[in-house]
This record gives sequence, C-alpha cells and structure tokens, in this order.
Amino acid sequence: MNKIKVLIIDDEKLARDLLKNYLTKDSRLEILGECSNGFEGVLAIQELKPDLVFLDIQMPKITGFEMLELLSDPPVIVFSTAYDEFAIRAFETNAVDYLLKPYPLERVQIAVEKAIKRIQSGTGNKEEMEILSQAHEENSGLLTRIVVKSGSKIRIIPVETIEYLESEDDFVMIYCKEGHFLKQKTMKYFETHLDPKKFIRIHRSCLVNTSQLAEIQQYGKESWILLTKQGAKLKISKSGYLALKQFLAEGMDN
Amino acid sequence: MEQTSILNRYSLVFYWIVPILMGIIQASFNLYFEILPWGISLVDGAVYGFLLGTFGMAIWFVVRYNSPEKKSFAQLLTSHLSAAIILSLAWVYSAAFITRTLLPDPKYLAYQENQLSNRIFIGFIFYALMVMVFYLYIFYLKNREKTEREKELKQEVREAVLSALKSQINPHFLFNSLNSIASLTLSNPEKAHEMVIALSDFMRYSLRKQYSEMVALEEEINHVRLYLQIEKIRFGAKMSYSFQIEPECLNCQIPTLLLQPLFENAVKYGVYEASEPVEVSLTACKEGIHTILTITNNFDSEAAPVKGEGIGLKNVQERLRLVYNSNNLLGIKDGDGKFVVTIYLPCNKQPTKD
Repeated sequence: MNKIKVLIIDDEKLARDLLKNYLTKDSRLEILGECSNGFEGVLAIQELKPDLVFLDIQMPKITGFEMLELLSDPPVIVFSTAYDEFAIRAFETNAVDYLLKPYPLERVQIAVEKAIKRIQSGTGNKEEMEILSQAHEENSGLLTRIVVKSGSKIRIIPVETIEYLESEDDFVMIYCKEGHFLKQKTMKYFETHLDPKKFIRIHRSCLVNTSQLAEIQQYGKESWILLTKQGAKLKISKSGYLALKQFLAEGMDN
Repeated sequence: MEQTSILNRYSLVFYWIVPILMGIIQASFNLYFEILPWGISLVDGAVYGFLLGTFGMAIWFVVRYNSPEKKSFAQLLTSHLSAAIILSLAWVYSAAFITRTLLPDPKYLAYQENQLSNRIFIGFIFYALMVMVFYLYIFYLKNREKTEREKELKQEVREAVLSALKSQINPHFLFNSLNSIASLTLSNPEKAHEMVIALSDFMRYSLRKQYSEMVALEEEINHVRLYLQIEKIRFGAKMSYSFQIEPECLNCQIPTLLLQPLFENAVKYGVYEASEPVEVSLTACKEGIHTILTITNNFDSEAAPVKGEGIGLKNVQERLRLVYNSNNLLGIKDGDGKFVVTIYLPCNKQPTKD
C-alpha cells in the first residue's frame, strides 16, 4: 500500500512540531512538508497533491476556510483549532475530523484512522467541505473581505472596494477597483452575506454597492439604468428599483 | 465645573431669599420704630431689597473668575474689595435715585441722607456673606464632581481588570499557549518550563485579589514583558520585542493594566496577521512633568482589514480622561507600515509610601 501523503498548515511552528512529532509515529504516513500560511498552503496543495491536510483555521492573511474556497479539488482535511466553538459544532456532523488544541496523541490517531478510511473509500470531499465552510460563514456573520484567485495570485478584496457583483452561470463576477474576479459562489450567497445596508440587489443577476451609486436614469416605461461612479451601466429591474427607492428614502430620513 | 452656574431655577430661588428678607427686615424696622409711615416703608424696603438682589448676582461672577486655586491672596483681596465698593455704591445710589423719584417727601429725603453710610455698610456685609456662600457652593459642586469621578474610576478599574481577565481566558491566547507548551515538553523541556512559569506569573498579576487604581510603571512593564515573552515563544522568529526605558520613569504611577490592551492590539494586528517578522517596542522617557510612553509595531500593510480595531484604544483613552481629566493624552499614528501609540502620562509626584 502506498503511504498516505500528509501536509501540515499552521502559522505556529510549535504547533506544527507537535503534529509532526505525533504523525511520524505512524508508519503509514509520509509527511510532505509544512506551510505557515494559507498562500503557501494553496501552492503546496496544488504542487504536492497531498491526500490529507492538517489545517489550522486562524492564520495570517487568509483563514483555513478561505484557503479551502480557493481549491477546486481539496484533499481530505482535518481541522485544528484552539477556539471557535461555533465552527466546532458544525464540524461534529460534517468534518472528517477536527482537533482541539492542545490535543493528545490518541486523539490525532483517531483523526488519522478516520481520514484513512475516507481516503480509501474514495468518497468525494468537496461537497462536505462546502457545507462546512458555509456553516462557518453563517456563524461568522457578514463578510468583510472576499478571497479570490486570479491566475497564480491570490487576492483579498475588502468588501468596501467592490463596485458591483454580477452572476455568470454558476459563478459570480466581482467588479472592484483592481479589476474583475470570478468566484465560485451563488448570487444568493452574496446577497445574504454582504451587509444589506450597503449592497442592494438591483436585478436578478446584479448586486451593487450603494456607495458606488452615481445616477439612476429612466430608460423605458418600467426599466431603469444605474450608473456607477466608475461609469458602468447596470440594468435595474422593477423590484430592484423599489429596493433602491426605499434605500434612498431611508438615507434622506437620517 | 465650567457649566455650573447660580443662574438655574433652583439656586436662583434660594438666592433671592436673602435680599427679599433684607428688604422685609428694613421695612419692618422702619415701621416698628415708627421712623417712616407704612407706605413709604414698604416702597423703600421693596426697592432696596430688589436692587440688592439684582446687583448681588454680579458677585457670583466675581467669585467664579477668582478661583482661590488660580489667584494669589493679594489678587483675591484686591478684586473682592474693589467689587464690594463698586457694587455697594452702585446699589445705594441707584436705590436712592429711584426712591427719591417715587417718594418726593422731604422727611423721607432727610432720612435717606442720614442712612447713607449705614446702607453702604449693609452692602458690604451682604457682599461678604454672599462671597462666603458662593465659595462654599462652588466647593460643594467640585466635591460632588470629584466623588462622582472617583466612583466612575473605580468602575473603570473593575472593567479593566475584567477585560484583562477575559483576554487571558480568551481561548485563542490560552489554548494556543498551552498547545505550545505541549509541543515544547517533547522537543525542548527547558523552554516549556520557562513558558509555564511566564504564563503563571502573567495570569497571577490580573488574578490578584486587591487592585489599586495606580501602580508603578515598572510593575506594568514587567507584566507586559511576560505577555510578550509568552507570545514570542509561540511565534518565534516572526516576532521580536524591545524596551527602552529611562530609569527615572520607572517610579512613575500609571493606571493599573493600562498598557496590556495596547500590547494585545499590537500583537493581534501586527503579529497575528503578518507573515513577515514584526517588532513590538516600548520606549519611555521623561519630558517635563510628563512621562512619554511610545508603543510601536510594524504591520503588514497588505493584510486585509480585521474586525474590531479601535475598541481597545477607545477604552484606554476613556481611562486616561477619567484619571487625569484630560482628553489629549493619547496619540495614534498609523502610516508607513507602522502603528504608533503615544501616551503622555502626567507624572509630577513621586509615589507616596505609607
């Protein structure tokens, strides 16, 4: 049997050392390497193609969850975390496993057994990971930033810099100062995870940042066009127009 | 203190009791000893009483702008003497002018001429009485304000202690530290030993039973040093820290646990979010009556914004305001990849030892 290839991603060296110490005791495992942040993690996963990743959640720049969003075919994941009890509750039903720091050797061995079973049965991991990261996002409230991949680069877009979002089939195109980026999420997801006081759905396929609004023009009897500060023209539907009107009226009251 | 005035409704009612009483006494005196007929007595008492009250209100302002803490005794004496003379003369002569126009009775005029020096004397007495009452009133207000501020301060200390505790039982800090210790017991037991002791000492400081409002800067610095020592073990080469303290600052008194939230911020937004090494530093130097504390950390300017920034800083500002009654003791500079917090700590007295 081939050895199971393992990657460790954690920003603290001592935490990585502890895991390495535990994992080297298991001869079925081969440790490919370790990464200290999510950027390195994405590259290493694409390059080394590990079967199993031990992933810390709270890391500099991008979290473990955000890192996972960037992978199209993620390996089996075991999360490790020192806190975040909400996420933990979600993992209990969905995760391959999660480890609470500090963890004993026996606990890691259980996680490894589960992971090996999962790898050998060959069941897909992608769907479960999505449920997982959704559960985390629901608990963490509104988005403050969105992590996207453009070419080989990873970009962090603060939500304030977004101009508008437009749906394209199964994806959403995010338009912001630096250009536009594709993200594999639904419009519904962004509608519920962006601050409804700042982002308004003006059309079935378009969510606009109200601070970027420059002008609204009547176009036909029941159609309007919105001009953003950067000069983009966006179609407004009837219900979108009502939502905009309500937003502007509230703005005047205050 | 600046906003308080005698000119609100309640104090004004109390204030007018005195001049009205003096008018009544004057009228009754003249009636009882049959010096003047009753009509003239009443008008005379009413006019003098009313004008006494009106001019008397000016005394409040003289008292307000002659605070005993700011003026010398000679200055106080000169302003009150001149105000007493001016106000008494103004009172007596304006009252005489009005009563003479109202009551052109030769007998009354003679009486008034006779009474002139007596009346001026009464003006002086009234002035002295009012000055005393007003100074007492101001003293009372200041005292009340002081006790209120002391109460608020005690509350603030409790809150600072609570939030310090909260950050230590903050699972992120505690369990990651314990995880580091778990790791070190296998790889480097001596370092594990060092970290357990640092963590214990660190927690002991905020779990003490007795809290005083102020501690010596030296004690606060030792506490912060433990915190940085623990984080340094966790983050290794990613983090470094330095202290540059002038020895004469060490005795300076500082509000308890004022510095810890600032260092927590520095580590949270500097070290946690960066992939490059971050340095946290503290300098303290004496400048006049102030000890200037500067806390600096560099940060990764590319790191995306994190939630929650600013609350810790606001709390520190609020505490400085309560303790020193001043709003401009905290400076924040954010730029060039550096975050700098400066505290101007008033430190003019040596700690009292009892």
